[in-house]
Amino acid sequence: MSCKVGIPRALLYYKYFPMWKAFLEKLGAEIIVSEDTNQKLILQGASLVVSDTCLPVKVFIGHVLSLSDKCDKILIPVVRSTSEKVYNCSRFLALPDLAKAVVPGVTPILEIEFDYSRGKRYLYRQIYSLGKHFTINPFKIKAAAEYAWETHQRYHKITTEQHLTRVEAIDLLCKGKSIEIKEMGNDGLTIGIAGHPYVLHDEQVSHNLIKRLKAAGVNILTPEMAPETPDSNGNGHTRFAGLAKNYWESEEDVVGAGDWYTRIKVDGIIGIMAFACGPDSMMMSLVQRQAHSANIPFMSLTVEEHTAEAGVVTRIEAFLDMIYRAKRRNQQCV
Amino acid sequence: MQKKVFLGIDVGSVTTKCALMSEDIELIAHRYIPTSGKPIIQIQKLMREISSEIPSDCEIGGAGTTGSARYLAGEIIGADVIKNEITAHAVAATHFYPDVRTILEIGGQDSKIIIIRDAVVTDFGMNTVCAAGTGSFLDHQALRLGISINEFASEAMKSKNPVRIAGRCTVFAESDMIHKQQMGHSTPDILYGLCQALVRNYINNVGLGKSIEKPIIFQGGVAFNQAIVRAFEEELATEIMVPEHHEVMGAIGAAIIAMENYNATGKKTHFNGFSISDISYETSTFTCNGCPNQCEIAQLKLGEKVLARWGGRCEKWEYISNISESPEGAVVTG
Amino acid sequence: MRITFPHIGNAYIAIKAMLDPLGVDYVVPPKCNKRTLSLATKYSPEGVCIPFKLNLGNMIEAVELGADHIMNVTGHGTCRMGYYFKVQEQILRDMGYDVTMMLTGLSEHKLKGFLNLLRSVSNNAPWSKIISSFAFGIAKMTALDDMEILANNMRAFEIHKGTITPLYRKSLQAIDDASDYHSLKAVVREYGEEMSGVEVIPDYKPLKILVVGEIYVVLDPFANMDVEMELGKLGVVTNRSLYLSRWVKKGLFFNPLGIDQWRDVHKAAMPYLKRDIGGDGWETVGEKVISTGHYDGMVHLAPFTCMPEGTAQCIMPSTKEDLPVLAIYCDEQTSKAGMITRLEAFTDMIAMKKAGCLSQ
Repeated sequence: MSCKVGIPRALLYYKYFPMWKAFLEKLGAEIIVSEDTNQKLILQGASLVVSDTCLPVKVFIGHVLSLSDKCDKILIPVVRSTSEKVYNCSRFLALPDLAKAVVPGVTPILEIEFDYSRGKRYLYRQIYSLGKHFTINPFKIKAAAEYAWETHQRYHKITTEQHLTRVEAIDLLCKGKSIEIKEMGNDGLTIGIAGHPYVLHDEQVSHNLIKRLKAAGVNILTPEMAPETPDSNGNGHTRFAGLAKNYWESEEDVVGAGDWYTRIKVDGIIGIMAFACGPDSMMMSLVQRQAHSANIPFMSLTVEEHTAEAGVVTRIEAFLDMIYRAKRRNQQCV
Repeated sequence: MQKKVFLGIDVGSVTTKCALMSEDIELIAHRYIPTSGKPIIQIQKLMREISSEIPSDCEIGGAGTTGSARYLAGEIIGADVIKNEITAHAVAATHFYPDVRTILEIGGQDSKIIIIRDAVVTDFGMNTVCAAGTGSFLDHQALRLGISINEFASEAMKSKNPVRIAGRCTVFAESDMIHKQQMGHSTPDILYGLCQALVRNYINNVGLGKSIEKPIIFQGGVAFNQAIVRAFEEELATEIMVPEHHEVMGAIGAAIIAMENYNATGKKTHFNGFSISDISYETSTFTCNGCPNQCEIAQLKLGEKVLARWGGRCEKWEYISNISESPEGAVVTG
Repeated sequence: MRITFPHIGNAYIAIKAMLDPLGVDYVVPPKCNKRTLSLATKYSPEGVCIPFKLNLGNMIEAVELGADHIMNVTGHGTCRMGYYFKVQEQILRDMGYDVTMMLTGLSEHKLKGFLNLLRSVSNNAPWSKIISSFAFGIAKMTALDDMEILANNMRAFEIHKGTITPLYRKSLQAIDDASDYHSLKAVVREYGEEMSGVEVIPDYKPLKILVVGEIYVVLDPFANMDVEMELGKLGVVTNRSLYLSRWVKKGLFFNPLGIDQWRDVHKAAMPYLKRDIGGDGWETVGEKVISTGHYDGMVHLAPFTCMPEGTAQCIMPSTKEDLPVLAIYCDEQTSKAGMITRLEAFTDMIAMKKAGCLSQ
């Protein structure tokens, strides 16, 4: 019987799911993805961690809990760095240990650590030690890893070239759902959304932000659609302080995306952040400043487990109205 | 030889409580009045009232204070012991219920949970800055709904289908409550929903990570509210005991601690006598200019004599014996 | 070019000692006070941690005094600290101040980076001078810590409450005034003897509490509301996992040699937390494990919303080593009352646990 591996539909799922799925399925595992986020799951997760923990981690813990009796093992990878000296937020580094400490009767956890800064050999060792759980044949593991990497690149390519969101791309790649390619109309508004994928693509967390914008006839841009990794550190400190281009692995989703949107002059930027998110408390203020200096309307939405849906709806409507009216007035003037 | 009685005073931010205990640890008399922002006057009032309750063959053997204004109260009445509320509540509870394992205490401005094993406090928690899990939260919401706090419980008990109200914070709860009102839910359902919100908030914040085990007792002013008791019983799925004098348990604890102190040391009490109710104390504040902090120092004076000073960040004004009588270089603001 | 630097505890005394011999034009920001905090709160983004806010407040107050170059440290990865400067610089610019950040990546460049920073603020002073003034600064740092350790040890024993703290404050001033190794040594000896010589309660067996947590709030008495002094007043001896001089010596000297200065602590944390999570979270968990049995309790200081310490707080209850832990969040509050109640209840609790019964 094949081993059932659970993957929580939270945090890194949005960035790496196709890769993990490809790797594990190649090795003969059966993948169980946790249910869509719902309010009960969020509150259950929140009740297990201290209250100033960020919302996405509470959601993550909720997903781990919901997988408890559905699988043999849970995959919780740790992504420490994805390029030289660019690290992930502190919370990501402790996920397996956190789950072990707070989730009662947690399913055995499969770990793998991605740390670019420690070089290729470390990566290979990590891949091998994960693969070992499924096969003793190193060649099979190697083939699976290569296939997984290929899948990941295809995933990345789909989002940037076809302007698909991560969720749409996952549907296309992993479920074979076809996606209607939308026309990028010239008449409508284009709104850029800055934020972490696990906030803006989780419909429960974002209160259907993307769906609502689409329903309002708006063209949306999300960080993963950026043509190349934007450089978010345009200032001269880099060389002096020996800093890497980015500070956080997720910086391109927020500051980088904000930078891209201001360069291509979108009609408005929405920054969506989760309550108590450490990096966003700083990065969002930079996006706001970028937008402000480029004269682009900016709205920040902070979501937490008790955010009222009605408030979000009102604010989105008001923001769009504001932009429409300003645009119409400008056109009349011209 | 005259018998001894022991006095305990608990001055909280919302209510002031007083208890008189006999040598055999029997409650002789107790009082419960609002603090109304005038702790000194209210303490004097309590003292006047309680003095008539002392049996003729008894004298005060010791006095203890507790509560957020314990140092002020201690200075005024001449307390032998000044103890924090947590220890005082634990002492009182274990006296009446020697096998108690969990104490839930909800007062006007703060709430606590005390975990006791074998009559020893092993863990405790207190609410942080937010008042969402406290009595004033209920007062505030009752006021909004135009219900007196006395009717609150009886109305709430009529609820059949309680409404779910977000209780993380008073602000959230309020907007959520208004929303539910507009949706046409009945007042009892909303009121009981508020009780459940308070309880949930309490369990998730103050009670986070604490093992709440039977027997559980519930004390503090909010225990008057039967609906809260019911909500606790439902949430914890167990029976909750409410002591007869739940609202003055802190004062009882302070009295017992004063008695233990007397029994251990045999020292004559420092108690200032009931004549203090007729003395006019003077309180004033001044700003210390000793450092850029500019602390506001409050002082309690009797005639020309400074009894106590507090409110500074450092110890400069704290020890009366260490300092000169007049605050040099300080601006007295009245 | 007028230099300034944000505060962390009493480090300014040591930094002054490094800058003075180099002839640097600098201003020390006013010590953290209520105005610092209100300026900081006004201009900081919502939800950032207290070290960021206080640092920003220091910078604003120093810029008001004419500073235009700010010495600061940064780093890579994980915790917000290394990102501070980007946002702080933006905020100061938006306020209309033309400031330049002079940075060193502590975790990358270590000692060399710091010396380079000193060199660039001193207008390329000769290396010999830089190294000697740096060494004197470190000597002062060590003296400061010695005084603090002594004060935190003795405060619990004093018969006349309120004797040690004023002495300790005077010793800080004297260390600041000391101009050479000779006078520094004399100051340390003089105050050391005076503090050790105060009248003590005979046969007193105090509780011992370890203070751990995020480095800024552990080192800075304004941010932690003098938690160690308050514990001392309750008759508790405190020690802590972090002292600036040790941290600097280990971090700057040993780390470059590939020596993990916290090896024991990290090893102890392994069963519960397998890797460094930035900040001091890993160390916090490890300290709990190795301190069990050596201390009666632990006070865990963390900035509100701190990522590494928050994780540590979630993980700590799961350790099998059972040491009572009191978590204290440091944020914008300025009233000590709530903290003191907690400290009192906590010390009562561990004293009772020790005695095995409720009455003492």
